[in-house]
Amino acid sequence: MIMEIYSIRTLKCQPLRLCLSVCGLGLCIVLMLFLLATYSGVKNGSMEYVNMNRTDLWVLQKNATNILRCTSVLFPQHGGAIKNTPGVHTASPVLLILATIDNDNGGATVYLAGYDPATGKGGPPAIAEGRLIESDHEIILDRSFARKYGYRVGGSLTVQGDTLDIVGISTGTNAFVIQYAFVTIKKAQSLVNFPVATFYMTDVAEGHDKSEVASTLKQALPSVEVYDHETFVENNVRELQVGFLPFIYSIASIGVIVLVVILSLLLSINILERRKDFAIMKTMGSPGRFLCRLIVEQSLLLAAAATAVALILFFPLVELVAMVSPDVTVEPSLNQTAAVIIMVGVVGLLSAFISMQRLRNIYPLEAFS
Amino acid sequence: MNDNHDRRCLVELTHVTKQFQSNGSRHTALHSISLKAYTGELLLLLGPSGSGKTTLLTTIAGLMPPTSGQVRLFGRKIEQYSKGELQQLRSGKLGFVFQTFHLIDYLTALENVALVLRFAGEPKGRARKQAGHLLRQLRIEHLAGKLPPRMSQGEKQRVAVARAIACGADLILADEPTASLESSQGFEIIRLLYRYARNHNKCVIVASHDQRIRQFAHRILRLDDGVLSECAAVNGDGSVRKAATGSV
Ligand SMILES: Nc1ncnc2c1ncn2[C@@H]1O[C@H](COP(=O)(O)OP(=O)(O)O)[C@@H](O)[C@H]1O
Ligand SMILES: [Mg+2]
Repeated sequence: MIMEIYSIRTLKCQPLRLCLSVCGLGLCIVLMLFLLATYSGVKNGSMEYVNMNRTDLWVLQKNATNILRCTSVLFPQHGGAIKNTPGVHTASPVLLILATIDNDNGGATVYLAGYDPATGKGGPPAIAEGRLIESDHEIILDRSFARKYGYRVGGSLTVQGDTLDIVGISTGTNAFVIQYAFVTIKKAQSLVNFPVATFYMTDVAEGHDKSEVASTLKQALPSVEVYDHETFVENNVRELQVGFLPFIYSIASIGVIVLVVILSLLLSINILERRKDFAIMKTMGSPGRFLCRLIVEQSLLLAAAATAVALILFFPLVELVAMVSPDVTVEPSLNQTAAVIIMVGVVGLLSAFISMQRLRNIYPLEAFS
Repeated sequence: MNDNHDRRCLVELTHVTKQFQSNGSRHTALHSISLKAYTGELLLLLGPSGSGKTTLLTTIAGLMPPTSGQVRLFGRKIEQYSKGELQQLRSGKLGFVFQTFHLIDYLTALENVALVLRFAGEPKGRARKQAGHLLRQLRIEHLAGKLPPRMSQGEKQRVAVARAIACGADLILADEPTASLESSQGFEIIRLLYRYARNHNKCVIVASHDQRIRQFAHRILRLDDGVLSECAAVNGDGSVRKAATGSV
């Protein structure tokens, strides 16, 4: 108890320093929370399209494994062959292209998904405003994209010279670096001047086994790749992680290092400032573990205070970001918050351990000078 | 209370020399010092500043190894104690009083005293209770909740003495305990230490340059430039006796 009292009082004796360092640590933790929440946002934004567009089998060009970082081109004869394969109920073509929407700022790029409005397969995962497209001169925009560029339902825009009416606003379609937009497959094909598709969303007829139909398809069409829904989702997630996780990990590591450095520095300064106290305690026969516990306590106290500050700042910050910069989707989660809290705890212990080394060079004799 | 029976020798130095190496030259702080200190006595080491008093006390406490000679503490050679044993010795059997008190500024008087009891292994609640009891015994219970920066010098030193004797230490080492105090306060402190030695059959070694406190010592040793030159025993009234062995 006495050591706890000592910890708290010595920390409180420099209120300005305490505030600054707790805020510094807190901001660093906010940064981490923000980073992870951004990653969640990106992951969900990129995956929602594939996740929500459920189909039995995804058929792509040979060697294409996902829609994020692969080229897949299928021709109408592929479509015909897929549809005629025994056990196939429907095969709906979807064409994904990068298209530029003309505006005053030199254009804005969208990931344009052309789908068949009749089946709805490959369309927006959710509509927040307006309706789905019904004709070739209509378009649905991602919500954050629309907000960023000031597009509204009822307005119109031009894509490569074609004027399209904005009829709906979708959500779950912000893939961070790019946002989805939706037109009919015919419109998309006319933009590339070729009647191609990126993939066919294929449903199996009742009474047929998915995997059997898949192997039949692969045998009949050696130039295609067939995935069931779960595998295809996994492929896309993996692709996103390969591209994104190293970035997240490097920034998170830098964050951890900064936290450890600030905290160890603060603890070490505290120890050196109260050097005499430690020398006196050593002279009076303090067991080593008492002093070590003191440092661990101080460290965990600071870490806890910083975490509290971070949590207080974080959620309003998320709101603020959503307001100021709608194209950044930040999705905090309980798991991530828990993970960050655990990480801060580990940082606290590590910093305490580093600062404890200062104690070794404090000698009882110093109490006599 | 103490009638000289059960007098144990707690400290025995034989030809202890301590040299310091500074800028290539050797400085001898203690010259072949031999002394014994017993329970039931307040032993005064008188010497001017720089004569080696602090060096002698820290050597006795096992905080500094002698360059040559032998130190026996509680009947055992000092080098035979492990680091852990020395730490336990300091937490339980040794007490320290410093010139500038060295109370912990962020702990109240009660907490300062309870802290050493915790070091000695007392559980939290008992440490506080015992500390409170001791403060009452020394009639400084009104200081219990005060932090050292808000105490007078005399109050601080009384708390420091309470801290030194809290664990019932058999040997108290006091380095210039009166130097920061006015005469009356200084006498008060020495009287406290004197009573502790006499009433509880403990050994108190006081290092000081303060001639005023001679009258409270059972025995006086003079230290000049590291040489222990003269021994004298003192009567209760302050007059010097012939015997050098230190009986009261
Ligand atoms: N760590 C040290 N290194 C070098 N010289 C020291 C050291 N400690 C003490 N001395 C020297 O030893 C002598 C005795 O010092 P000290 O024991 O502190 O005297 P006192 O306590 O009587 O004032 C002094 O001359 C001092 O300069
Ligand atoms: Mg000294």
